[in-house]
Amino acid sequence: MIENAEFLLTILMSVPLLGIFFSAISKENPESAGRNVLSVGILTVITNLVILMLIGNNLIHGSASLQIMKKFEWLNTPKIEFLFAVDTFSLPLIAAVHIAILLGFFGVLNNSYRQKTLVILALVFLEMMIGYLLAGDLFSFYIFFEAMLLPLFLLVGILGDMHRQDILYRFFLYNLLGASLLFMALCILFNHQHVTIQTINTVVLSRNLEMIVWGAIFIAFLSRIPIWPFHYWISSVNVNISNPLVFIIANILPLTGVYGLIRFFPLTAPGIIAPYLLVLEIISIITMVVIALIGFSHRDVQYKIFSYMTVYYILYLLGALLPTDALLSNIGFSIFSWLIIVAAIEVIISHIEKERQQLGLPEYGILKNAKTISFALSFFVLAAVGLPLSSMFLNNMFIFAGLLTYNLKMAMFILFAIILSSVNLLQHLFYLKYSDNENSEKNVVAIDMPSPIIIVLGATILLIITSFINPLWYME
Amino acid sequence: MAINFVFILLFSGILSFFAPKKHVAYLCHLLILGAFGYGIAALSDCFATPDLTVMWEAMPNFHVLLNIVPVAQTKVLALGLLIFGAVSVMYNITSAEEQSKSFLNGLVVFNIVLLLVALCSTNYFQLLAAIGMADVVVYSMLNSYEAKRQYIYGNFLADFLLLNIFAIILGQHDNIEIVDSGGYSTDWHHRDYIAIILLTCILIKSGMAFFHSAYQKMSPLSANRLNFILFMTTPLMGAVILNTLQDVLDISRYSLPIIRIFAILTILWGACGTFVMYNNHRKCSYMAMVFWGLYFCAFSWLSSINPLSFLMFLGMAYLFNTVLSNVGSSMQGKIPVITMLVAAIGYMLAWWNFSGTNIILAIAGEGVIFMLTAHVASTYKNSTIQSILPAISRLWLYITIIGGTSAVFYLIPDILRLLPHIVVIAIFWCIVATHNPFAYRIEKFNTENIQTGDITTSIYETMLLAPLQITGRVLRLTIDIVFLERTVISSIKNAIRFLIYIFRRLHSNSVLSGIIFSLLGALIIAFAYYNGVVK
Repeated sequence: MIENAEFLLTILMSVPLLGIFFSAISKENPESAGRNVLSVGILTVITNLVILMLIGNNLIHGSASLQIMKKFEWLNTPKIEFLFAVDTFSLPLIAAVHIAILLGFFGVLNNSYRQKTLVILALVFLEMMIGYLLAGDLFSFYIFFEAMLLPLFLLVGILGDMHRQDILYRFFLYNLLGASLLFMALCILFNHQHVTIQTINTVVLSRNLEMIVWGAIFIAFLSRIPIWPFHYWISSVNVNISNPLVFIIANILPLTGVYGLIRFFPLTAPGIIAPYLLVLEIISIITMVVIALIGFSHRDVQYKIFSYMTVYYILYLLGALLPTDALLSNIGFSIFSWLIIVAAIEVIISHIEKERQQLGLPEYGILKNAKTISFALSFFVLAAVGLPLSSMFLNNMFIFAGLLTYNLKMAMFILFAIILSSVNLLQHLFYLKYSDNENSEKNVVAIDMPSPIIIVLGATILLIITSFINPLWYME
Repeated sequence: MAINFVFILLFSGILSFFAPKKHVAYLCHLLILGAFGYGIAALSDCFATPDLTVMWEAMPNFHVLLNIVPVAQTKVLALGLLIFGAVSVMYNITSAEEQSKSFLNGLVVFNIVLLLVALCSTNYFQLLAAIGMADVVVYSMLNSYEAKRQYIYGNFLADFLLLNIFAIILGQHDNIEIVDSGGYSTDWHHRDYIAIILLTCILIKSGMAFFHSAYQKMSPLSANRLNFILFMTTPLMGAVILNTLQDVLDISRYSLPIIRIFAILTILWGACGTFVMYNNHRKCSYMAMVFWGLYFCAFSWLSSINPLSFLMFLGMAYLFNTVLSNVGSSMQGKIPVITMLVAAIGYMLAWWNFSGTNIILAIAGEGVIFMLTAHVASTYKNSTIQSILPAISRLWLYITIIGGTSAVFYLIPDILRLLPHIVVIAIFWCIVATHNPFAYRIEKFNTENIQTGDITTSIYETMLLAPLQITGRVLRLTIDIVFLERTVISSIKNAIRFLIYIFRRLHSNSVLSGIIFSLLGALIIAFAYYNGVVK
């Protein structure tokens, strides 16, 4: 245990800034092919992971409240303070975001196009995510909530594939709605009482104002989660990005919506919007089923991964909306493995696709002669579908237990959607692995994977298995 | 101090994965056999071994007590599993067909350990974790892609269903102890739902009729691998679940009839398959189906299951299948028939001993086993294929068959009384095996559709997967493209375009736009004045 561990939070937030600085000044020439800047990015994330381990070591296991806190005073009139804090729920999420981005960095190891821009923007996004997940006051919460859109917007604009104008249009349209609503709601709250996120439920407002404020907050967070009709912009972004790092970043974004709802409505939703929760649940479940069905009929693997992620994001959302806070740590530890697993799958899939295009191989049965990649992909897909290989397995069971207890009929649809989205992943795995004689002749050339990626994937597999055996291994 | 045998088994299994193939492979095989021997000695009470109880911090808010201590009821089964594990490892070592022996032996060890974990489980979490991990082990054992695909689809579904049953129980009663399920089963909600879902899971795991496709796709596997999977892995795990969660099944009145219907269907399907199949390995899969069908019949009609009798039945079925899968590659002339006769007598005796308390069931089962074993022997009586099996492999095969059958003779209490019957049955068996009226009729079933077709997969694809895919496409077209893309986003785009057009016109250099723009400004001022000052 370290006494006065608050300084660790300052370091945690400063390291990415330093990383951005060094990335910006790192020298790049055609020979280095973007390796210098990538090394800075990787080092930054690894440093932060070590700091996260130290922070984890200082957290008291079992305590639900915010533990390590750091306060910065900015203005006296109006009084604006930045409060950063961490608890046992946010820590695994921060760690998962770091590892996912680290995997993304390894995924772009051989990328030569705009590598510097890519790494800098990824680090900016990471900084914003850390700030958002640590934010303990409304002001910083809002700033980071909105600011993280900028690097993603630029990344999609620079590295997006076809139809990028249309995608950016949708991106802007949907996020503008969310941003404006949240801004309005927080202005009203900030004007009425100087509240923090922890005391937000104590604010007394007139009935109409309360309806407006909570309704706005609700819609703002939902606009980030792929619930109908907000799913469309996220699916458009996903399907049109082949760069694994950008894909991973785009898929981390919905986490902010789920996290926001959990932070704002820790136990129960405010009374004024509580009646609408049932409507939200119904829409969520319909979205799950619809997206899973569309994913089932879609040939594009990116859409299949999006479909899988959507179903799970909504599962976590529904778990978080249950009138109990006992599931929070289960959600946190399940998301930890889930986010890392999806990032690893995306890195492998994009690598396969790149190799396939370079070697001119058919997609069907491409992994027949690539045993290492096949093993890694099989492991991550099996863990993703919920076999006992990661912390998702038993933690999800608790989430299901909660959902099944409250409404069995609704939960049946959830289960159907989860099964279907998992089958989507399995379907693609066997599509890549399975090969009849005719195709195996074409796939004589075995696709390869650079050793650093294999090592990182191996380490990720160990981490995932460790999370299954003992998810709290880093805590005392 | 003696170490718990599970640790030694796990250690030998892990070592087997990483051992270099040529140099230390034999040492690893010896280590594994030694570990099994140590386990068998420990369970036979040859020396005191410490209990294995581990506190598993599986979740941030929940701890599970992992318990691998075989009690009186499970001890016999645990002992049997270790013996079968050692026998399988020996089959693998002596096999010429098997390429990656060390890896397979490691998986065999892991599978046996996971079966022990499931067998000894006292809570749902331990059971579920063991079942799920065993699926991953079996998945790794399969070296045929189609088999892997079918296996994992089915078993993922089964595991997921099981997880949901446990989630419901956990949600309703906040208790994960299996022993408590009998007591509070009367208070449960959704009883039929829980029981039927649990049964579905068990039927998938044990490869019963309509859920057997995955096991039929395993015919490209080597004989040892195939037989081990058919008897000692997932189907056996299904039987373990059936026994362990019997109290949960009993909460619905539909459970027993469903088990009986599926058991009979499975026997019929398996028997038909065994009769018409030409491929030896497919025949083995159907024979295994018959075995599991018989077991489910016994479970539903007998008042209790005797672990030792079940072990004998399982062991003899496994041995018979091993003979069957090696016939043609190892034996010529009359040897296959004689070897099969010994194995079949052992098989029939084991069934008689297992189901003896229900005479109708016992006789019906004997009839099925008699006909099937005699029929498969009849198809090999004229086998002229040259032996390709190494002598050591054949020797081990004969040792296990003779050893297994002798063990059955030794363990059945009133064997002397049965001897005349056994002799009569053996004579009849030989007659049927040499003059089988069906042997020449099966030629008309030698068609592509029957021999390699898979009707159940076709049913699933037509009735389930195709409608889901069509629904998905329709939803994509209607919701994503027609509604959101063409209607909502298009409308917003057009509205913004229209607004831009209006404002352009307002800003254009014309008198009319100037007047409209000024009027709009005045209107806003008036509205603001009314709201801010007058009101």
